[in-house]
Amino acid sequence: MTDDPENQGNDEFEFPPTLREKLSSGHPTPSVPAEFSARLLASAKVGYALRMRRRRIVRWSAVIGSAAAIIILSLLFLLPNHRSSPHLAQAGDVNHDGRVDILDAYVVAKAISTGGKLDPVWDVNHDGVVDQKDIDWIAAAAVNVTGNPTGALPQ
Amino acid sequence: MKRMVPVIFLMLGLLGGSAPEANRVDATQPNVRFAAFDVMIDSGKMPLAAYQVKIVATSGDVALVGIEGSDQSAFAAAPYYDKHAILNKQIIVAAYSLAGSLPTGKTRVATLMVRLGSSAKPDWQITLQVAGGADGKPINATASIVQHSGETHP
Amino acid sequence: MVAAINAGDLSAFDALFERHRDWVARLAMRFTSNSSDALDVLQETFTYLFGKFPGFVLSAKMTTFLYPVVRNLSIAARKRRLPGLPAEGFDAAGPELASNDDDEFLSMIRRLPEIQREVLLMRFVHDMSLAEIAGAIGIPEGTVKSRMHNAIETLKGDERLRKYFD
Repeated sequence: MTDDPENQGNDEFEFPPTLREKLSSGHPTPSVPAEFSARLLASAKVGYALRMRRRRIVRWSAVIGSAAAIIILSLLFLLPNHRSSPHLAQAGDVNHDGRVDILDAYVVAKAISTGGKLDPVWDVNHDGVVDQKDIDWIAAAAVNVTGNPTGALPQ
Repeated sequence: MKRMVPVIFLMLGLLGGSAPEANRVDATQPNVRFAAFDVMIDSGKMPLAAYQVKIVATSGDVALVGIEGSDQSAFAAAPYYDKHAILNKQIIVAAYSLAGSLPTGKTRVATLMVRLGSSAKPDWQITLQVAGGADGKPINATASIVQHSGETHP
Repeated sequence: MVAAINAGDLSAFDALFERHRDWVARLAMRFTSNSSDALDVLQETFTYLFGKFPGFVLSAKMTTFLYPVVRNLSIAARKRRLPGLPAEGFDAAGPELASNDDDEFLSMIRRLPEIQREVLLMRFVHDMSLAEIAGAIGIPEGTVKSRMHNAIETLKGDERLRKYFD
């Protein structure tokens, strides 16, 4: 600690090393299981990724706001076969039932396993491919208990 | 109207509130013990390809410590669940199966490992949020929780 | 590390956790005197901290920020375990330490007034600087020095410990 420049001046209180050791040994550090740490970090990263995504969408919406709404309204009425783009659809609501649940993940998984047609909007993590990562993303959103579990968008 | 939905969505933005803190579990008691509870889905005659349940421990000193798949081969893999829910009292569990042979009737789909802080039996509330058939469409089904002793918690 | 996480570097979560995990765990253990509760508090503390990203602005040392978080979560954990315990003024030493303590020195530490004991432990167990202690508790640094001085003088006044200070 004496080498820490931020602790300069803290050694004005002399405390014998022997007593300091006794004090330290009397307050042990509990063992933290590796799996505990891994779960905590994994959860933190999933939550962070979802919040980052929400931030990007909020930022984007605030910038172009009503002007984008007018443009999109025009497109919606001019393009009769318009399908929801990745920016418009509920991310993960593959079957368009208004909620993100395990059936959405299943639909994508089934399509991949049978070699069926893959809709680009299913690329929910926007890495350019529709694969198991997208399935896992959708399933993770489905089981997220930090938000409304049904009918809610991924947080 | 359906076309307006994404527009309204766009204009309002995704301004959802921050996630609420998960309920914390009670601390362990001196007479802590562990138990297993099976999650059962009864899909009747319909083959079960996917399920999603919400499970809440409504009483008792209970903490979820782990989740396993079932011995039913279609759902042998560990299901999806929110890792943040571990050590909490509520959880959403979900899984799907691409197996060629899907189960019908009453199926054990997952097993919850719990830590009990007292001798009192926990009370469970289980809600089947969705069950799906091989075509990915919702099917009628019921969910229940069974302790390994055989007692059923509908 | 805070800036790295705010910039999207997810590996910085691991670094931040690794850096402060043991410090938080040890502090939580001291407050709760129970390893299971300490792990609960550890989880809640980092869940709280990580939930602040992106956009978190750290205006002090991380330990200064975390100390009151850990303390408050530990109080809640102890209240769950011992509902009749008053929220404030709980004995940081805890029942587990008392039941295993054969060391007169640690007994003396527990007999110090709480405000003195706390600064002593924060300095010499948790390696916090005087400035960090002041920021964490919300008192002037001069007050920290005063409490520290009084705590050490009390210990020095005991014949059994005098030899260590000579």
